[in-house]
Amino acid sequence: MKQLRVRLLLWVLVPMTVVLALMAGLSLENARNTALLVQDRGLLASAEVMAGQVRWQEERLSAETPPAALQMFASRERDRVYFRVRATPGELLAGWPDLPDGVAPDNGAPLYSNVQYRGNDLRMVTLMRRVYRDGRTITVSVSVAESRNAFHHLIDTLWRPILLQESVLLALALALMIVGLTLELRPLLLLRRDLQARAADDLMPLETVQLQRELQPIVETINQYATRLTAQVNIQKRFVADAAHQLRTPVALMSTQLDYAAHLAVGSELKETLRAVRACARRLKDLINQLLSLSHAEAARGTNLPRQNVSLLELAQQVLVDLSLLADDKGIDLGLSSTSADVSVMSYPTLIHALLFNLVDNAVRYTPRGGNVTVHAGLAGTSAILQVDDTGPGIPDALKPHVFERFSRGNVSDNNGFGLGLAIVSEAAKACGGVVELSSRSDGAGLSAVVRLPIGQT
Amino acid sequence: MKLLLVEDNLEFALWLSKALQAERFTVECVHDGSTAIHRIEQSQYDLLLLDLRLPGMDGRNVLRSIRRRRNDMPVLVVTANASVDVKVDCLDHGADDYVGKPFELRELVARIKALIRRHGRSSQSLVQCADLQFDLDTHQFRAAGLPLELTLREHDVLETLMLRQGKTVTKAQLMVKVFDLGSEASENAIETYVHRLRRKLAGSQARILTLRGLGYLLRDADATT
Repeated sequence: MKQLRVRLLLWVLVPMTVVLALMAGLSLENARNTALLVQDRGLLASAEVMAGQVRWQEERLSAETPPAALQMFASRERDRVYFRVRATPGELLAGWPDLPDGVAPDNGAPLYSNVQYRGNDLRMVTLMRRVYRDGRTITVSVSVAESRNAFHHLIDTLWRPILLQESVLLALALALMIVGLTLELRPLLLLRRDLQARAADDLMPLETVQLQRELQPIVETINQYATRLTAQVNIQKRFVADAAHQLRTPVALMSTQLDYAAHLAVGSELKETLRAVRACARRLKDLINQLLSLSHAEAARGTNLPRQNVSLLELAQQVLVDLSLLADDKGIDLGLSSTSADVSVMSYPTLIHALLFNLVDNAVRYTPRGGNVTVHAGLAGTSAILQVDDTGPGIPDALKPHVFERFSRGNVSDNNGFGLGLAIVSEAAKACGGVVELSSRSDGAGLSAVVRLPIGQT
Repeated sequence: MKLLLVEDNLEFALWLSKALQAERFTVECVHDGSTAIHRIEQSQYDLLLLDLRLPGMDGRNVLRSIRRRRNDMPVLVVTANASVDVKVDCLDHGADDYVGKPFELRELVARIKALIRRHGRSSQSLVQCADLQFDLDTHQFRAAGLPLELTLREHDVLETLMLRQGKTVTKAQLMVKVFDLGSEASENAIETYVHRLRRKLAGSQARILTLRGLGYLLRDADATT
């Protein structure tokens, strides 16, 4: 998610920054050239005025520095101006004698140079003029130098607005991209939330309505994949049911053979062995029935099979009778709560029976000898409830999320169950539109399993 | 007692016949629907054991055909298809009871006997729970073959439980059966009788179970749920 944003930003912002930096560099160069031109012109004009003032006075050359020549430089930036007028060779006519030398070409073109003087960076122009007198030619060099405050100021004035414009442009692009990406990615985020909120086995198609057209094919592909997956899952489920079904006949045959063998057996050891094999056959039968019960519950979900009126109190009695022998064998006091009331729900009788049977069966199996298991049927608010309380060890919080998975067992030391009971409970509850909650009993004495079922129209 | 077994799985038919014969039934075995109907027309049976999935004419059609001929022999359906819909379907078509494969032979035998008795074709007047027998004519109990010595009230309690075996009987219901109207008896007395009965049945496969809040019930200790 974040990755996409960063990558898009990189793709757009890095090239854009490079281009803008180049443009900034170019405009800086431009500004510098312009400023240089302006300074050079000023210097040249000033030097020419000074050169024009060099004349003969009483056999010797004299130079005057007219205020106008220097006033040209009176700038706000308080630039320092130095000058020197010199007649070759070496005769100083006016100005600062130690100003660095510059040799201008003879053809009268000015020489521009950058010099260091008294700790200042200066721009200097040197001009050569020939003065004739009595057949003598004397070359006069005029140098005018100026510090560079005004120059730098001009560059700043020219360049800064451009830099500002470009920075604003960059910031705007960044802001627009972040806002745009956030807004445009919102449907995707919604899609993600939708997917996260789903039950693990929910393979219903995803909504494509809010998505951009470019993303719709992706979601449609996912949906097609989910459809294929659903078909595959259904084949698997049917396979389990079919396999369990196919096992019934051979197991029935084996049980019958064992029953017959029990009549013939003589030795006590043989009888003992036969009894053990028969117990195995029974466990096999139980497993087959559990598997069928599970796939029956799975298949019922999402279908619109006709519902029937189920009396929860009758159902509870039936389940208690079914499990009375097991409870008696384990020395467990099994019973119906005295506050139970008769509530009827519109639902699937076999599924609700499987649901309660497995809850009570589990409770009886996991409760230690001498404990008790109590079933309660009644109303709670607008839903019907079936509740099974036991005095067993309960389920540690860490294991709770897993107890509804197939072949998982809360208590590993037990080897009588198949670990399918709570999976059936969960599937059956879902198929009936109910909810199962496992919690520690308020008195801390064991587990309390509560199933809430919708009552439905009767 | 003579049974007709209709089962297309030859191996299963063979072993089920053997096992039922060991339980002292006379068993005749056929493997398809039309032969079954043929046999029923020619001979008299106490009960029909019918598999639903048969080659050719299937179990449901056999059932329909029998009932159309106004033959009301008891029919017990035995099938590997245990879904409720099939169960309801069978009972609608005139079956008397239904057992899903795999089953316990004991359970099958108990159901066969119950059906035959209900139908009144057998002179048998014995009610049975595992190895506990109750003779409806002589009102005698036998456990594991031996007569059971019971006081009058113990007898009344056990008889009530025996006749409603597999179902719960409340203490109040037992009080009505055991004591005269208006007698000054408490529910504790019932507990005492049940306690004594349990001791006397200790060697038997029949067991009296307690379900808190519901009452007592008599069950075969070897049966599975």
